Amino acid sequence: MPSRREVLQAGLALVIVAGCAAPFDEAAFRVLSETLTGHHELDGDVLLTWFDVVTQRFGAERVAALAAAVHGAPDAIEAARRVPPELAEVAEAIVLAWYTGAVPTGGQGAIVRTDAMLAWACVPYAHRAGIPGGTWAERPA
Amino acid sequence: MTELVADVAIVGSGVAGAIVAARLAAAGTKVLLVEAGPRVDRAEAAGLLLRARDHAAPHVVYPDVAHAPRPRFGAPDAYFVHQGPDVYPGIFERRVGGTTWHWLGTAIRLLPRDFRMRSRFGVGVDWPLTYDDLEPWYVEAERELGVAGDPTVGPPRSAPYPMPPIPLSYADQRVAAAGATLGLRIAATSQARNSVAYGGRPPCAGSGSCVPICPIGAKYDGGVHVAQAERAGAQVLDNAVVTTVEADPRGVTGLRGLRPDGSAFRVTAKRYVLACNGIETPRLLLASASDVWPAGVANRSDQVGRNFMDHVLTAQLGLARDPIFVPRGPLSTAGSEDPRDPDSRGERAGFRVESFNTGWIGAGGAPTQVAAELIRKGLRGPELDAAIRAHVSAQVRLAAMVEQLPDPQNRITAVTDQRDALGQPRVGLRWSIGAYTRAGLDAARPLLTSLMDAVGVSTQQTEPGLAAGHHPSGTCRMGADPRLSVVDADLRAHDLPNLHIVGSATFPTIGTANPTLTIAALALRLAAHLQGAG
Repeated sequence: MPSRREVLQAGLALVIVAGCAAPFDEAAFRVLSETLTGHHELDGDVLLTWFDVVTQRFGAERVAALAAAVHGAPDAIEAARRVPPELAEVAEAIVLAWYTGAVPTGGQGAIVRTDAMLAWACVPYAHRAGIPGGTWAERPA
Repeated sequence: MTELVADVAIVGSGVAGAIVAARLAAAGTKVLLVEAGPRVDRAEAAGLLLRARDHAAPHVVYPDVAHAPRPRFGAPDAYFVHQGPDVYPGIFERRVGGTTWHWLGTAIRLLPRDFRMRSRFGVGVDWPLTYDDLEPWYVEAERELGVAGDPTVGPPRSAPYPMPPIPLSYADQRVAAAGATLGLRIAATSQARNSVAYGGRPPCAGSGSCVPICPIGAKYDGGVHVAQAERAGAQVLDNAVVTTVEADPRGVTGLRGLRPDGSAFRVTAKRYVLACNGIETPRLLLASASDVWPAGVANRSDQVGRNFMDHVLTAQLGLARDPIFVPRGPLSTAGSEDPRDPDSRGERAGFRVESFNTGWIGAGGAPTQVAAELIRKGLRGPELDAAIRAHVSAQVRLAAMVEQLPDPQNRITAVTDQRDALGQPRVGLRWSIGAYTRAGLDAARPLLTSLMDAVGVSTQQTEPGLAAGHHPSGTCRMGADPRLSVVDADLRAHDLPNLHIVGSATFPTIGTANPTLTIAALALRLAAHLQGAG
């Protein structure tokens, strides 16, 4: 039985053949993720997870189309403006994945990664449960 | 059938049973400590916590075991057979070390008038002990657990705390300043959490996960005394569910139980101590009914299982105009003792105010939940990041923990026609919050609202629903009258001289103190009594 990754790569090959475009790979997904979130320090291991999850959930062709639509956007706000309505759910899923660590699977729960969640990065003073966080008595700098 | 023999057999390895076991074993007594559930591996549990997204409920880090079921958050009917009118949302743990694995760590004393509710206020019952009787044992309990506290807070004390107080959080300091404008003193909560290295355990490092687990052991848990007991020679039998207390008319003759594989064991001892909790102890006694004890063991009074009490919590959520920088530090480090003991306690319940360092985690406002809501609203990039920070850092959560009175109609029963995986009767529970407690809630909410206003919030709301303190109490209460109580002031069963019960099950009333320090004080007192009894 082919692996999930092999199935995905086969699908990508079809996209490439059909569209005669550059392959939509992990590197392209990184650019797309950085464009949509505005964050450029995205964890490489987590990125592989979300690449697999998002392309399987929505299809590599739609993700590639989203990447093409937002290509060159100077920031996340402008990128959001460029997202075509029919691809809005794909863009939202990618942003949710990076900020919340979960991508809904459409009625079957969610794929979860609990590391590298941008929501916690937005409150850098905060103590995340289970990780010694140091002082709590002073106002953060 | 495995046969086990000891001088003293203790059922339940939480803080109560573990302390009795440690003290007796250190004195040379042959102790057998029997625990229904498994041992806890701190590193494994902490690892499970790190794989949770925001803040894990206890069952996430303490996985279910079929032979020792217990209630879990959000699914009370899966454990209790509720018999109305209210649904009890309390949880507890059946593990070696007990529920202290995921207690908050609050270690406050009952107040002198808490022991005299009938005499002073005409409600509830009096304890057969006074505060002065228990005060030396509170001192000892604070040393044993390792309590950090402010000596200017709380009832009179004869000795200093073993550690200086845990520092107030920045959020606490803001709440305290607001409280001062209302004449309400917000001060450091006494906590069994190390403010300095103590008892071979490190100081708190601000892991922000007292519930469900302190990853470094800075917070006390029952495992501390289980380890002491084992070092002193006590035998700990884990994954061993006691199913029956066997008794003739004069005394307990043995304990019967089952292991997860269905194999049976039997324990005989000179003395027996039940230290399960306010739910499992009466369940066991009631489930042990026999021809000799048709209403349940040690239940000639018909008081076993009755007078079930817990604290009821209401919480207020607000968003401060200026950030208070939560979540940081231990989950709660300050509160107000002022509303605990009003002169109006004849008419309505007293309550304790708690300030939380958690923000709205647990109330739908964790950073990832805030982020998800804002993302779905369309925010992106720097606007999104700023909005997440602004919301999370401003979250204020204040709560009031309100007392309940004993009511014989509030009771635990053994439901023999519904059984768990090991064939044990499920727990029936009839629970009514009651008018007295509701009047206390009605008094607490305006105070929380005023305090929130004084903090300076742009918006506030009452958290939906009511929470429990997870302090099941009262179901084998102590008293001088054998017709109205299950154990005497020495925690000996009125009906059976070689049976003792320890834990919050024996509390005649619960006041507004989290019960663990009082449980520990009573356990130390019982251990001394048993040593003297030979």
